[in-house]
Amino acid sequence: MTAASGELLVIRDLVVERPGVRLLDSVALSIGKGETLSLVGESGCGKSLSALAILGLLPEGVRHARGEILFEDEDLARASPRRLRQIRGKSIGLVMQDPMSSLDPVLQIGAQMEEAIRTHLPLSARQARGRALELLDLAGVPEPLRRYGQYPHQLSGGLRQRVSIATAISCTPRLLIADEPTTALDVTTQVQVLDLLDRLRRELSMALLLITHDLSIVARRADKVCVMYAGRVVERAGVDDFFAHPRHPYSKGLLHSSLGAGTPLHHRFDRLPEITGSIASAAGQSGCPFAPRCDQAEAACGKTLSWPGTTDSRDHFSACLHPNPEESA
Amino acid sequence: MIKDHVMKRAGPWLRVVAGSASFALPTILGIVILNFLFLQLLPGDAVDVLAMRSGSATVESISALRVQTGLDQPLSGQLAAYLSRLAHFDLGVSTQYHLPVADIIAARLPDTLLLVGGALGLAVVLGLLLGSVMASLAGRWIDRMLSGLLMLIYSTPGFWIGLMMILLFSVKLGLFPSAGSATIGTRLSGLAALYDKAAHLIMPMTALSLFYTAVYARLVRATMIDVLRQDFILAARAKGLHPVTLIRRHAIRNALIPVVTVAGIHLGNLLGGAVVVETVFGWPGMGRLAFDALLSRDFPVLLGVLLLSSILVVAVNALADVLLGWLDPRILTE
Repeated sequence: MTAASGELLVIRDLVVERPGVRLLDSVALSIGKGETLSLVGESGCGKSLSALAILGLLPEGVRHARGEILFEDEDLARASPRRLRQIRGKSIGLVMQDPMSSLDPVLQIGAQMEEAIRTHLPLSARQARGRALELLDLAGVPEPLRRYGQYPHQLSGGLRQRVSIATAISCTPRLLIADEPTTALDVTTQVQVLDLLDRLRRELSMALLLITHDLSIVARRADKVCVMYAGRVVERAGVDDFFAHPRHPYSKGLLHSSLGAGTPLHHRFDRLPEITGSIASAAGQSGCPFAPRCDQAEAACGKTLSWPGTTDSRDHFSACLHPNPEESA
Repeated sequence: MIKDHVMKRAGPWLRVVAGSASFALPTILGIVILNFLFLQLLPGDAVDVLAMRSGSATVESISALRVQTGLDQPLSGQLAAYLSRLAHFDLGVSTQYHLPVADIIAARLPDTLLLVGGALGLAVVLGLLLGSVMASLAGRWIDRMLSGLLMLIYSTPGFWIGLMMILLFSVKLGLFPSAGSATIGTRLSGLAALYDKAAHLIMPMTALSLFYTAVYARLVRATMIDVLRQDFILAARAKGLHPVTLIRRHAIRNALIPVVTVAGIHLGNLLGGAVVVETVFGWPGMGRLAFDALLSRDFPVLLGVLLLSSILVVAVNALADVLLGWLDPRILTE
C-alpha cells in the first residue's frame, strides 16, 4: 500500500487528539482513483473527524499529533494553511450531512456557488455564473435559472443537498468527501441523492469517501469499506469480502444486528440481536477498545497496548487479536 | 430574467414599507395626545414662568396673557385646537421666543441629525469592527483586553467621558474646540467649513457613541461566535475561502441582523442621551432646546420636538425593517 501504487489518498498512522484525550488512534486507510470507500461506524467513533482531518479543518482545540495524510503524494498534515486552501474546494470537495444548515441562509444559491468557483478558477463573474448554472443542471436541479437567484429557505431538503453537491464538485475535484449526505433526507430522496453521487463519480472520474452508518448503503455503493470503532479502524476490506467474511467481532455484531444479513428476508419474527453495552465503555480503555463488549474477549485483549492487527491474503485487515476466528472461515 | 427577479423582490419590499407606514400614523397620533396630556401634569404653565421672570405681574395681566395664549380654555378645547393646527402642518408659536415652532426646530434639526446620526453610524461601524476582531480571536489576549475596555466604557456615564475628553483634547492638547458647533464670527465656506464642523463634531459624537459602541461590539462578538460555529461556515471553509473573506461574506452579514434590530430601537435613546452631551459640549441641538422649553413650560416647542423625535424614531424603525429584509431574506417571505 504505497503511494506509488496509484492510490489517490493514503492515510497512515493518523493520531488526532484534544489535550488528554486521543480522538483518532492510528487511523490508516487508502482510496484509489475513482474508487468509493465507505467509512462506517456509530456516532462519535471518529468518522467525521477523519474527514475534517483530511481537509485540515479540525475543530478548535483538536490537533493533529502524528501520522501522514498523503493526497497525490503530498502530505496534507504538514501543508501550509495557504496550500490547504488551494486544495479545499478545488481538489477535495465536501458535502455535509444537513443541507438545512450547510448553506448560508442570507446568500443566494448562485452567490454561494460562485464564491467556490471564483476562489479557484480564473473566471469572470459572467463565466462563473454560466458554470454555476451548468453545475446545477448537472446535479439534477430543475429550473437552474430560477433556483440560482433563490435563497436556501426557498428550496426543499433534497434540492439543497443537490446544490451542496453541485458546489462541492464545482472545480471537478479528484476526491469528494460526503459526510452522511443522506441522513437528514427522507427515504425517497436518499436514493436519488446517492444515485447522483454515483453518477457524478463516474462522469467526473473522482473518488468518493462516503461516510455513513447505513450498511445497506455500503453494500450497494462502495468498493471498499472501512469500519471504525472508538477512533480506530477495526476492519478494512473489499466490500464483497467484508459482507461475505467479516473478521472483526464488532463488524460481525453490526452485520448480525441488521435486517437481511445472511437471509434474503425483509422481515423477521424474532428479536434482532444487539451488541451489548455502549461505545462509552471504550473511554480510558488501555487495550482493545471493543474488549468490554466483545463476547470473545480474553484476558490478553484488555492489556495489549498496540494493535498491529492482521491482514490476510485478500488484503483484508482486522484489528483483532484472534487472527482468524473459526466461524468466519 | 434579472428584471423579472427584481420585480419579484419588489413585492415583499413594498409590503414592508406599507406595513410600517400603516402603523406610523396612528402611533404618532397616539404619542402626540399622550405627550399633550402628560405635560398637563407638570405644575405651572408658560404664563406662570413669564410672570415669574418679569417679576411685576398683576392678577389682571396674568389672566389677560392666559386669554391671549389660549391657556384659559378647558383641556379638551386646547387639545382639539392643537390637533387641528397640526392637521394644517402648523406647530404653533413659542410662548418664550414668540417665533413659529417650526422655524426654531428647523434651525436646530440639522445639527441634531448630524450628532445623533454620526454617533449611531460610528457606534455601528466601530462595534462591528471590534466585535469581529474579538469573535475571530475569542479567548486570546486581544479579546480579553478589548472585553475589559468595553466593560469600562459600558459602565461609564457619557457626560463624564465628555468632560474628560474636553479636559484632555481641548484644555491640555488643544486639538479640538471644547464647545459649539462652528467657530463663531467666521464666514467659512467649502472645505474649510466642513473641516470646522468636523472638528466641533468629533468629541460630542464620540462621547455619545461610546456606550453604544460597547453594546454593539459585545452583541456582534456574541452573535459572530455563534455564527462561526454554524455548519455553513465549515462548508464555506471547505470551499477554500480565505478567513477574512469568510468573515466579510458570511459572518458579518449574519451578525448584522441583531445589530440593525437593536440600532433601530436605540435611536430613541440616542435622542434622549443627546440632551446631556449637547449640554456638556454646548452643541445647539434639539435636546437642549427641549430641555430649555421644559423649564420655561414652552409647551408648543416641547410638543414640536417630541413630535419630530417620534417621527424620526418611527422612520428609522421602518428603515431598519427594510434593511433587515435585505439582510435576511427569510423575513420577506410570508
